[in-house]
Amino acid sequence: MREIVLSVDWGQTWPLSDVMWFEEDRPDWQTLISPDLTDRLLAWAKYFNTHADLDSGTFGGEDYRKWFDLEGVALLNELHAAAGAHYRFKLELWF
Amino acid sequence: MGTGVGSRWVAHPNLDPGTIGLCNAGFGDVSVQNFQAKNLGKIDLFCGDSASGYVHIRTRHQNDWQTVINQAGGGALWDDFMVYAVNGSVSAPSPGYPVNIGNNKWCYSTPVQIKNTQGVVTKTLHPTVIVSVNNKKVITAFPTTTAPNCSGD
Repeated sequence: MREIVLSVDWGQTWPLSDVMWFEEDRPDWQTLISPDLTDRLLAWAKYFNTHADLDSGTFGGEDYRKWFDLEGVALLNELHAAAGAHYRFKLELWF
Repeated sequence: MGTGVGSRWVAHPNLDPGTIGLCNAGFGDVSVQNFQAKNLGKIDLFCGDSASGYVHIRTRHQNDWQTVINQAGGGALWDDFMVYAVNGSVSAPSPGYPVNIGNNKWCYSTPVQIKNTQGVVTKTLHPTVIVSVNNKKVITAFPTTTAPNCSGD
């Protein structure tokens, strides 16, 4: 079972590592996860790029970091529930 | 943009092991490679740290770059190829790039073709390269396939 990493790097808009997979290997997310979960994934990635500050190395406040981390865990659980039979998911909170 | 000879990549210049040693020793301000970036001029890929630069890319994406290389036949070091892809992306980006993604960051990309031993294109990458405009440095680069994964939205 192939592993998919849930994480956001600078500028990244889709926070799953399948963006680095070739087309023939990529999951069909439309059939695997709900539109709501898709929207939450996109929002989570956007949140990181809005609040994470490279120069200071901070999120601009612990509340911002806490929300990001907790939402990451929640998204991981949702991904497991929706597509865990097909892929292994791992959350990486690196910043 | 890319070219392959046999199963090995030609990605000159190869990174200096001595420079990478300085990165390993924690010298974040050492330049691993510099580039001439469209609309910015000279920029650097510094050793950096866990948050940006060569060390960040190695920590976060070495496996991703190596997987792409291996799927194309292998034979190259991940960081030589990464630097090759970054150079192509920033020096000759695709039309519409660089994209301003906010917070003093621009996104660069260009198609990087992978060829087999007969010279036939087997894979094409559209790497995502993020540059800090105010610091004129590459902060991350990852080997996106279908399209670069960045936007100013």
